[in-house]
Amino acid sequence: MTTLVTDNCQRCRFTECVTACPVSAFHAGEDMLYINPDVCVDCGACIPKCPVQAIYEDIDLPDKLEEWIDINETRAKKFPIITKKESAYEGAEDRKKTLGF
Amino acid sequence: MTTSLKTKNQLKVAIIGSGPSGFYVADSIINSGISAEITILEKLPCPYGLIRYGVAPDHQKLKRIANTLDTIAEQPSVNFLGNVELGKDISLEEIKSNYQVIVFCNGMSDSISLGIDGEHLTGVYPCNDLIGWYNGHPDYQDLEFNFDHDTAIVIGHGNVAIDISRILSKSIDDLRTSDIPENALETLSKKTLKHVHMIGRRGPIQSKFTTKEFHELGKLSNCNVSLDPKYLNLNAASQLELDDISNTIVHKNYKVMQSYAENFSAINDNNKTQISIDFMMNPKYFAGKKQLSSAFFEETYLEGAAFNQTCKTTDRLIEIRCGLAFTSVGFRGTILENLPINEPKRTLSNQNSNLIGGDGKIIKGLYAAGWVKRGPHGVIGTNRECAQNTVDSILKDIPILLQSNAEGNAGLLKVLNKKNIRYTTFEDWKVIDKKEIDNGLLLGKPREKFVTVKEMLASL
Repeated sequence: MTTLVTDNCQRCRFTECVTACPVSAFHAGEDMLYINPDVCVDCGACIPKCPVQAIYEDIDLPDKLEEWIDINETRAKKFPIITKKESAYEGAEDRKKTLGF
Repeated sequence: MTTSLKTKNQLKVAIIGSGPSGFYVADSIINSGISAEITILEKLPCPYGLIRYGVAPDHQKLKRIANTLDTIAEQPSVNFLGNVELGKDISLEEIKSNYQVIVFCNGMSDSISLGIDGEHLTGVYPCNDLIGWYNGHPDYQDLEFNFDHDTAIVIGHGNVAIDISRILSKSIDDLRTSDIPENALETLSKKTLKHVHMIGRRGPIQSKFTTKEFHELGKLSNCNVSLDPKYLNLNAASQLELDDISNTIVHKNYKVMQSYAENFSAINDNNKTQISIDFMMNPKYFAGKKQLSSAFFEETYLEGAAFNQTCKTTDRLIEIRCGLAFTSVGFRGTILENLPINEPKRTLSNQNSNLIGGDGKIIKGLYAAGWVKRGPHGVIGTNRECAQNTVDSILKDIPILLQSNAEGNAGLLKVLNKKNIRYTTFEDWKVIDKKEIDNGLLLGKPREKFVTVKEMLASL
């Protein structure tokens, strides 16, 4: 069981998710966030927080997004932990619209 | 001089309750960077509240949240005092005289009753009784359950109902790898349940499950999960709710339901426990002489616009023969020290986390966070954001709060010592924790809990 961030977060980075994480499992990359699978307890609190539905559990992950399991695992630890909401990426609202949300 | 100045400007905070909310309030205060001394008060000798006693005993990964809470408890500005119960061992006035801020994070521990005939019958229990019992909570150890029945029903369609259904359905060998205490395992080993019904008043689109828990049911090796496909024929309003793009979880749950609907007409393997998910049934009454023998439901239907549908009952009665019924229709708070509450959920009356008195005015220095503030909703992580909001309110009030003097933890310890209260510290808890883990190791399980306060204290 894994919970992970996928490509919808890229250049959105709304960061609403981090306020709901009980174990501080999010790491802040430059243009998106990643979840550290060693820390995450799969509580799912972050999933409904994401305005662009970028967060999945592996049980409902579409096949085309499977590579993101490894990407989260390798990239998360390279970036600092984020626990507070930050302002979204510039142009995030436009991107959200493009993504259909 | 420096020390007294430092102490003078240090905010003294007492937090009532050591569940996730209590710890997250402490964490948010520390992260705010203000100078503060924090005492977390807990009525049991051990911390973590619902992480220890609410999260299901077979969900050990989720219980790892306790590791995060540990790092908060070990901050130098945080003191944990267990086995101290507000209203019994210590009064609100005694705490007030030692702290500038009191944050109530004591949660909600009462199950809401259905208020229907037959709830007193043997075999009918609020969910809390079973959860407290199988999680080893000291307050629930006198209960006696008998699982020697063919059928159990669980009323409610949320994660608590799923937890209960799963524990009732799993094989005893599977349960032995959880941290259900040995005394409860002994009773559960005698269960003969062949059928567990999980019953809700409303339809599939209105259920409150989270997908992971709902999906997990279908993965249990000795169970067959099914639902009648007729429930997936939605009315127009429910279809609109399902089609709404922001309704992610419902969408995911619906997919899982479709897979369970496929199991409906499959021939049941008699060696498997059958878990049925039933919708559109409102509990009417329980029947039986002394022991429950049947539960009766009224068939319901939904009326109104999407996202605003209400549940109406018909006069068509449905009987389910069962020997056990667990009601899981929500929680409410307890009345505490005459603090004003909002019925029916019994949250503490508050405005932006500040408690408000009977006169509608803010009570200086008193705050709330977690369920007792916002009601019994959300997942564990929800409490982190909730705690942050409470701390934001406290931070705004700091100039006023610091006007009064308070001795903090040292002052409270004087009161407790004077009253001869046997309190526990976080160091004590670590001793109990280690012994529980060691005892569990001998039994091949994550831990073997001490199930009475006496045992916990005797282990020190």
